Amino acid sequence: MKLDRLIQKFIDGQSSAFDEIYAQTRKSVYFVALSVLGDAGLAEDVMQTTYLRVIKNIRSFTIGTNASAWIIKIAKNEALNLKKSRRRELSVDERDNEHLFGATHPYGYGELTDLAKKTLTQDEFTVLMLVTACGYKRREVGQMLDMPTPTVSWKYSNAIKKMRQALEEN
Amino acid sequence: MKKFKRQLKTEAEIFTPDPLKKIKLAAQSENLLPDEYVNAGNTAVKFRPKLVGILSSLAAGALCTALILTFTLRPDKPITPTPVSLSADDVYGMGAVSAARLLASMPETSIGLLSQTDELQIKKEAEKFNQYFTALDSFWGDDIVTTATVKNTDAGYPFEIKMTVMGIGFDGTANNYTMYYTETLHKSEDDEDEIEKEYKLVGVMIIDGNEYAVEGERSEESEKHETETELKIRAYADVADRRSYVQMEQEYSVENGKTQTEYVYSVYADGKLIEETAVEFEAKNKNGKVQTEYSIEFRKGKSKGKYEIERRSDETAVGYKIDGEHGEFFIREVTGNGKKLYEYTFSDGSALTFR
Repeated sequence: MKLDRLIQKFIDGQSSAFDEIYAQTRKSVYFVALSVLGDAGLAEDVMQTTYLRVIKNIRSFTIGTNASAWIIKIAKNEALNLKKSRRRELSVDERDNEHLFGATHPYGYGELTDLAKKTLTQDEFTVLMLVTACGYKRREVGQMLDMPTPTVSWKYSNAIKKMRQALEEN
Repeated sequence: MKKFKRQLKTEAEIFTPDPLKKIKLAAQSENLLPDEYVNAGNTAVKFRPKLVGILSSLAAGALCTALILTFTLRPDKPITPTPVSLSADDVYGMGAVSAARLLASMPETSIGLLSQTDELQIKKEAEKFNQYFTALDSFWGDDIVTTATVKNTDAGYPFEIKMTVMGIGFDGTANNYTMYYTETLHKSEDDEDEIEKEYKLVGVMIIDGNEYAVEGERSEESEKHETETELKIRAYADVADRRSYVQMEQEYSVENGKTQTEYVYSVYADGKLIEETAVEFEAKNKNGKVQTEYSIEFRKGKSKGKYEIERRSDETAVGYKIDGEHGEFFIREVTGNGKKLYEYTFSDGSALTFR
């Protein structure tokens, strides 16, 4: 069922609709947070604060507008706020990380996701994960990230090229 | 490269954290969620991953042939019910016909006597059920719908394509409808591995001599031999009033590992969603023969309930569940004053008749 219809159901009192709202968006929320914070544990914390904020503000959402974009914007703001509050640079660039390629991060990213985090810029990583791992179209990703669709396509192409090269090198 | 994308997707499935329980408990502690919801088990979760379907007519034909051969060669082997796959043209055609017929039936259609003291809830819901049943009454055949498109040469309809929508009616006779339309490519994005296209459709559907303006959108993501499609089509009673219409949208969901296709009908009046109903088709093995069964579920609006429809040789059996009430009623086609009518017979022996 469409996300904004689920939100309407939730507002109408059907709390169980939240399970499906969560299921449809949890991966995208996680990867947006991960791209900002670079840490799986912190990204999971942001998942929690994001959904609490979604529930608190759900009546302010305009039915018929892009619900995924609304939730992702909340996630991004939560991640940025957490980053600021920790008062240190958390970069996705982990070239100095001691993890060997092929090993799984203790929080569990998976090999390829880990490689993508190390290889790509924050935007490229976000776009790549939203398109390939979460299954969104480029137009939808553009709406979520406030980015023109051609820019999304360009970042996606760059991400693919870089990953191809990184895979060949490894 | 495709393997790499699949692996990213798999890693996301495995490694994305799932703090749903923590979120619910935190929300409960802030009185944002009710205790009974948080303390209950998780409900079955539906999500909408993209369904990768093969839309070429050759592949669809091969699938149908394989299904039929499976039964003819091994008639005793039970087959798990499978979702029925329709091409984009078929979905457009069925959607346009059914949406327009729903529009046409929105005024009262009941000509039966309905006692307000009737105990059975189902009899109060039967009229609304009948609206959807008759809107789709050309598509209860096992093939559901077939469509044929040709370049339009009919004067008076300034559209490029003429589509004939063919179905089998309740009584086994063929029903044909005509839609004239133009579909234009609205957006196209192409990179090395994927092509994304969006199309817009504008046209007119002819039902019983009446014309209904139709509009639709279709998006396709193609990657080598696979295509994902999303599609919706709307019928307007008055094209000048774009805030009131019936829309059919094809939706996919996964539940208990099974992928299901639903056709969701949304009725809008003055821009407000007043009714939402889902229709689902499933192919089942009945006594060695593949038969298509249908379900109708009223999700929003004044009507409620879920109905499972099974065609039999001389009648249609409908199992229903409405609030706490469940049971079965039967539909037969009858003739009254030279017109085709549907007679509904209920478990208490009473009957209602609808157009």
